[in-house]
Amino acid sequence: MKTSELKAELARLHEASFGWALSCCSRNPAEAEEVLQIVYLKILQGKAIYRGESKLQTWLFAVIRKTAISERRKHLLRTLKLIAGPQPQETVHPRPEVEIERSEMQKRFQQALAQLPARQRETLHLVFYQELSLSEAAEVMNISIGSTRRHYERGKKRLRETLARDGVDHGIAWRRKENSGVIL
Amino acid sequence: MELRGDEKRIQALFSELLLEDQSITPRFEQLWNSAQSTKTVRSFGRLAVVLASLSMIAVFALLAVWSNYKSVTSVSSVAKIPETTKPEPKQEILVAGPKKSKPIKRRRKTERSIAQEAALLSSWQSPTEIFMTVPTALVLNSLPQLNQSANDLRQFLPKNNEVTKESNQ
Repeated sequence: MKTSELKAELARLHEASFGWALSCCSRNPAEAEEVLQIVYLKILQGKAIYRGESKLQTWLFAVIRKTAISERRKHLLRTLKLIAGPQPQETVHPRPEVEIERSEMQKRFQQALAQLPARQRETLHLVFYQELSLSEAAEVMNISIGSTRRHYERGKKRLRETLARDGVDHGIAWRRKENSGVIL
Repeated sequence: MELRGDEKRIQALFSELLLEDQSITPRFEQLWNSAQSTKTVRSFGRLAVVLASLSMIAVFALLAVWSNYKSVTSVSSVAKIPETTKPEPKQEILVAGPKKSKPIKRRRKTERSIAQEAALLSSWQSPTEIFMTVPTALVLNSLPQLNQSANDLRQFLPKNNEVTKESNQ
């Protein structure tokens, strides 16, 4: 794939990529932006090469995920002062007006999402936010489809329980049935 | 993908989250261009590092060549000194040669310079050697041949005035 074509595809996927980067960076916009820039840099430098073995989106999301993990590790090491480098950026909180605009339900939802284990949160994000299938999500996370399905089911159950406990039902009772179907 | 009731609710919450994220998404061009400029800066930095290391290597090589050249010239200048002043420089140089352990690469050059020095020493002549030569050296250092003519043999005979001088004495 030529650079111009790749650039056009990346531009098309940019919003989804940023959303995924946000999810990988604990919803820190500055960190997500940095991660995405590093990913673009990797692509430009030829360190991340798309070979057409999978969908471009799943490949890109896998690169973003790996980069976010590596950047988080670097930041952690910097905070422990094990390696020299620039001081980690402070967590950027959203502007007050954005904070007000955000609905109470959305706040609780994000809190509930943050409480989930990383794998479960990632699976739910890829399935519901990015609308990927479980097999594609498994490819992005580099795990088996069985594990992905398990993370999906457990994450969904846990999220439902947390939201029900916090009263985020908006008039619609959360179903307590555990035998939800498998989505593929 | 068919979603059920609770899944639809989760989907709705995620959709709301998506809308919120879209409002804070930076422009693609902005990130792409900054990545491109970072790439350029990094490539320049890498080029600078490569150039600096190459120049360092060149400087070290020049220094090595210069020091080698200097050592060779100093040895040859030491070898020339005995011709004029010092009568016995051979021992000094032979002692001074193996004092330092030189690298293998320089050993050959050192050996070559020692050979040159030895050649110079073998052709050395004492400045007072002229006093050892006499005008009759040719006569003294040669013998008459039996088949030489009588006229030629005369040169070995004392001349008349020399005979008279000796008789007077």
